[in-house]
Amino acid sequence: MIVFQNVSKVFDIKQGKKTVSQMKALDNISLSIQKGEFFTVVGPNGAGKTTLSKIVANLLLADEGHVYINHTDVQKNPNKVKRSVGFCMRADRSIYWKLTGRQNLEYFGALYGLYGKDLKDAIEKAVKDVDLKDRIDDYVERYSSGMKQRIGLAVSMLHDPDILVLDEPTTGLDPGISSEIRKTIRRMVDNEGKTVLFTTHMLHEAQQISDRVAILNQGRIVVNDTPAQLIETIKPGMVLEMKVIDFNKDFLHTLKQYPSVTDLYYSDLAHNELLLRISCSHEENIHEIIAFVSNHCRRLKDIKKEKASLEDVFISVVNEGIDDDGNAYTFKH
Amino acid sequence: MEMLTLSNTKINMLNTLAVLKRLWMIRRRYPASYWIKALGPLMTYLPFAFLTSYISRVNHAETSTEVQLYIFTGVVVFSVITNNLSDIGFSVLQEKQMGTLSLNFMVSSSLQPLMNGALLYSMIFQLINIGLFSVLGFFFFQSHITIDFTHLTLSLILLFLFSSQLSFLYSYFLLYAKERGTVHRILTGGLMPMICGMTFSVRLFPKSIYFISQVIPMTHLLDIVRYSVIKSDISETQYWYKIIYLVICILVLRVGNQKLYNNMIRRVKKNGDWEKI
Repeated sequence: MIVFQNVSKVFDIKQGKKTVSQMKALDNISLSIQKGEFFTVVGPNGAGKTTLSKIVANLLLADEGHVYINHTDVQKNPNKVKRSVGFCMRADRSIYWKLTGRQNLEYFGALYGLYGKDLKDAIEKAVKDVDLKDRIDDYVERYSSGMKQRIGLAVSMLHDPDILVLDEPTTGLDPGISSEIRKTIRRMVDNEGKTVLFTTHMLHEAQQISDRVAILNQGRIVVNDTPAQLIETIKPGMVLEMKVIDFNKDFLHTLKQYPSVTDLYYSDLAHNELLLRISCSHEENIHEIIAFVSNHCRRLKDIKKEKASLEDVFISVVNEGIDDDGNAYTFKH
Repeated sequence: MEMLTLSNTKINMLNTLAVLKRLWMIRRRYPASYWIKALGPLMTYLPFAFLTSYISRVNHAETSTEVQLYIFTGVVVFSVITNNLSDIGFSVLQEKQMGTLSLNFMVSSSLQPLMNGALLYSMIFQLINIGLFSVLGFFFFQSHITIDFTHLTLSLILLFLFSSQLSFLYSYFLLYAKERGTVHRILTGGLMPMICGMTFSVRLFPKSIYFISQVIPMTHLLDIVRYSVIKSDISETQYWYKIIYLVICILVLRVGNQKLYNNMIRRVKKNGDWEKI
């Protein structure tokens, strides 16, 4: 169980030795993650996800508030916490490339205090869990990004912790590998009852695997619930997404008045192009809406009709979307 | 699981050995680097010593062999200090560069095993270096050496203790500082070995520099090692005064190090500067 109690963190922005301004990375975060829960924190780059993970990992001191893991204060008793938590940051930067995968696991296993048969068994189990058996004796520098991430995950699971803190473990990986990693983690939650705190900027990923999701924006938790519940309460119905080329923006005002349009968001793209997301309460009106938009622009492309997703919830509560690289882009209402 | 029953001391010892093993495994991939590391100080010394012995008759020593022996002991002492500083200090820098420092801290909850492991690793090579220097010294200077083994053992212990505490101090400084080795260069290169009397007796210096040299503990380390090997420069009483001064320096460094480590870790954790270099 992980409990965040009014956690705040401010960073000084410095020019040379002089502090020129301050940035609030986390603002009064209070959360409670239950045992056996897969909890995801989503947000764009700079939202405060890594800061949150690093405070749990005792790599950062919170300016205010406390984090408790299984009722133990992380900052007051880090050694006790360490034994029940496994951390996986960006693995391409936190493992030794000049060693083999096995040597890395032996090293970190020894740091966890494992040795002899316990260490050997733990390595075998972790390697099996992350499916790296064939390449475990290869040097990490010869691994692909996905394999590096998997060995990082194996390191975090070596001492069989109850809680896993995974900071963007799928960032930069191709969809196939990301999916494999997600399945591995989900399996650990379902089969072994582990608690997972997972951060990502990929909203579809969060929706797919999480028991509960918190949307973090500019250091604040905006909403926090199960993905289904968030969609149900914030964005029920269908969503129509399309790119509109050569248009007159005045039509947007009329479109908003359409009876079945419950919400409308747009983002300016390059070359007189507009990304339009329209929430509809009645699916039968969709063709009518497309026809209306079509009459007010030169061309329509990439038309998608889908059930409202976490992405729509995110846009609705934050007025921003997140691109593939995790950067936020503004949606207008 | 077994780890839950281990004491913190035992975990720290196991962690230190794990770090040593890791450093050794990485080094094993490049066998040539063993030789470079083991023979490096000797190779640096030889041309330096031969050249200096011909031009440094101004030294208090009367013959070329004595000059060489004087420099020889100086190089031994400084090679131990230099190697310890670079092995321990640069291990922190490297971990920062690679991004592995934070994971080590997360898993181990202290960076002390990381530095202790680097110290053990460095000591292995120091012992090889000193062994090689001893063989060379015995071969060349046999008739000029009057080794007092009790004094030599005590001097070498103090040399290792002082250089390791100095290296810890440096590595803690590197934890937070945006530094790439300038302090290391100041401590081990350029003027410092000269001021401490690595090649020339400090008695030849002007009074102001002589005074500075007497404050620096390295000067006294050189004196006590030389006293144990060639009975030069100082009396028995001065030898013991220097021992006392060095013990005090080591204790001050030890206490200062502990405070500095806690302070630096707190500062790194406050700002999240685990990778700042």
